[in-house]
Amino acid sequence: MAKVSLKGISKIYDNGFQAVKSIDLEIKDKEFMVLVGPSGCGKTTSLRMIAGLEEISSGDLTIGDQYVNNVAPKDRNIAMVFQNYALYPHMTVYDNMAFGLKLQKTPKDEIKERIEKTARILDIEQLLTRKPKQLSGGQRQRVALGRAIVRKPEVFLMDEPLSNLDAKLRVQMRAELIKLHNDLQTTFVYVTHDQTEAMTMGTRICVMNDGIIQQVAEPKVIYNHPVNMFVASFIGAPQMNFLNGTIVEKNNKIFASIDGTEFELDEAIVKAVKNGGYVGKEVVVGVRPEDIKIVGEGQGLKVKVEVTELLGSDLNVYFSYKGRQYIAKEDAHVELEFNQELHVSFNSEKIHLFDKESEKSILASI
Amino acid sequence: MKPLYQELKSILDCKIELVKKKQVKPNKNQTLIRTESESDLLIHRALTELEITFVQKWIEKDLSLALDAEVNLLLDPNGYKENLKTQKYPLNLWRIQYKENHEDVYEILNSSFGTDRIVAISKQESVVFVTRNSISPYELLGMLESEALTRAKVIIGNTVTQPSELHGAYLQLIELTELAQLVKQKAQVITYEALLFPMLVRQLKRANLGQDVEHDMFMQGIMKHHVRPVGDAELEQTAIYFFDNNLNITETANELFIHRNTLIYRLNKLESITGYDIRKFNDAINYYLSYLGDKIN
Repeated sequence: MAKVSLKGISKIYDNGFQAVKSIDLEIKDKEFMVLVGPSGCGKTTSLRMIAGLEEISSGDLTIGDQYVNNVAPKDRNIAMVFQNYALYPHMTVYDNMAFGLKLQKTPKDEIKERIEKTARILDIEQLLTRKPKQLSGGQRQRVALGRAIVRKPEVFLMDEPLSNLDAKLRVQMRAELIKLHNDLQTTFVYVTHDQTEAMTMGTRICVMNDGIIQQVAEPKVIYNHPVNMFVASFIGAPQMNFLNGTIVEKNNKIFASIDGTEFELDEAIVKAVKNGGYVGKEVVVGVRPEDIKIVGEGQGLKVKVEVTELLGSDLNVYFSYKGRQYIAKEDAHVELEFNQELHVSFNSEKIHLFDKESEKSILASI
Repeated sequence: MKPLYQELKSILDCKIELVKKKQVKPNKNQTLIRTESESDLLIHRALTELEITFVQKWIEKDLSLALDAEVNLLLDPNGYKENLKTQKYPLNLWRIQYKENHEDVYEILNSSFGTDRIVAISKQESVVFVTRNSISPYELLGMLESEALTRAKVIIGNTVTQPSELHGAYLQLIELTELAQLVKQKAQVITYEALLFPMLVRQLKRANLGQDVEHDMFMQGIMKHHVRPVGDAELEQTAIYFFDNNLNITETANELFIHRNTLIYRLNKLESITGYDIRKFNDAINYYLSYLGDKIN
């Protein structure tokens, strides 16, 4: 069993700065948990507290069934992979992988067995006799992973391990890490600031900001039901659009009105709006770029095209409305010109509504 | 951390030297304590039997690491005169501080730096004489944390061009470590270049205490423009991120994941509190100096 449990964990530095503010997080056994958030949100500090590299100011940490607040890192049965991995240049791949095990005084035969098994998993058997300078970037990264795997940890802790790789290799390694997780059937805790990595790799995602956990859920849930404007804007590329609006009721129907243009709300959304007492109140309307559609004249909002970006299958359309820029994702075959005026509407089932003051989702109860 | 043999020196209240084995014969006012390391300990006092037992116990307990004569190279201003091993210059001293697992750390340093000289100061500190950078400080940090499983810091000093500078360079490393604790508490790689301004401010403050009239007036000048404490951790943090991103609004906003207008609002607010518009180079320097003046004692 290698579940990881954080209860009321805080980190306060000597200068009074509170990097992590009483977080609760249950990471299940064999789960791939991704901690994601912007710089300074506390994700790396949280990971380092799990590793034992940062002291815990308050709260309880358990790994498996063991309370580990005061347990030294080497007794926590974890392995770490960092962004700044390095291999000893004068050692072969085999010796690089064996280094940590030699420090642990592991018997030679066992070292050999573990390295051979790991090399098979990572498909680097043919590289074991090579020196690091004879390896490509991706191969080096695999060796760095191998060094962690041979330790046979209960939990892998990874802090932005792919951020030093070029874009193409990063995509490839992403897939390999997912496969590795499936093969090893071990708990992974992975820190990244890249929401695409979080969405594609995590069994669950923990979104953090300002030392606080904003939402923990499966990627789909995070994307479709963000609990607040921060999560809504952080997850998804391009970002969600936000417009000021008012909830109005007309002829027993509920609309989100943006500057007088009304968008009828879906039945499920209406229920949440009524339950929350938002009829007649100002709200923030959130719409993902792919939920904006171009409509005929006289419908929707009148906007002006500023920039278009063709991405092969999709076309990102940057348009301005009342002096602010928004973005829509359209089919690639749509042809638009700079400064062209057009009308846009929203997919009513996919509209998000947020409380203007608290920035929390009004639809959280759906 | 105070070197262990210095602690012993203050306990015994007499001079203590690290000497090469079989090279010194103690006189009647000295006591030679034999150790298992390369050096023995010459104590400039005739110790009682009880004191000798105490020192031996002390050595057994923890001192073996510090008994390398090379430690003197860094700790004693004249230590370089007695150290005959050749060393290539110029070099940089890297101070490695770590919490635990000294043996593993030492193995990693050996494997990373090969022929470069490594001096173990204590069980939580080693200094490497780096003559060629085969590994970056961040890579070393990654190695130490993932292989030796210990929290670590790497502090890199200014270039050393001759042996007589070694002691001063080591003192500088200690000062850099202290300063980083004040102004870059989370930083794990600390370099001389990154802390030039804080060093400058500390020197000015010290000169001020020394009643040097010219420095005194200069420092008073700075303190006259000393900003009111911002009193808002978020604003202070924003300013530091803004400096780290070379006063670039877009990059700072991206890193903090805030809208650029939010950043501009915060910068305006900082200006209204301090009077400094840190988007302007001169104001940025003035604010930063004042900020450091406040943080550094």
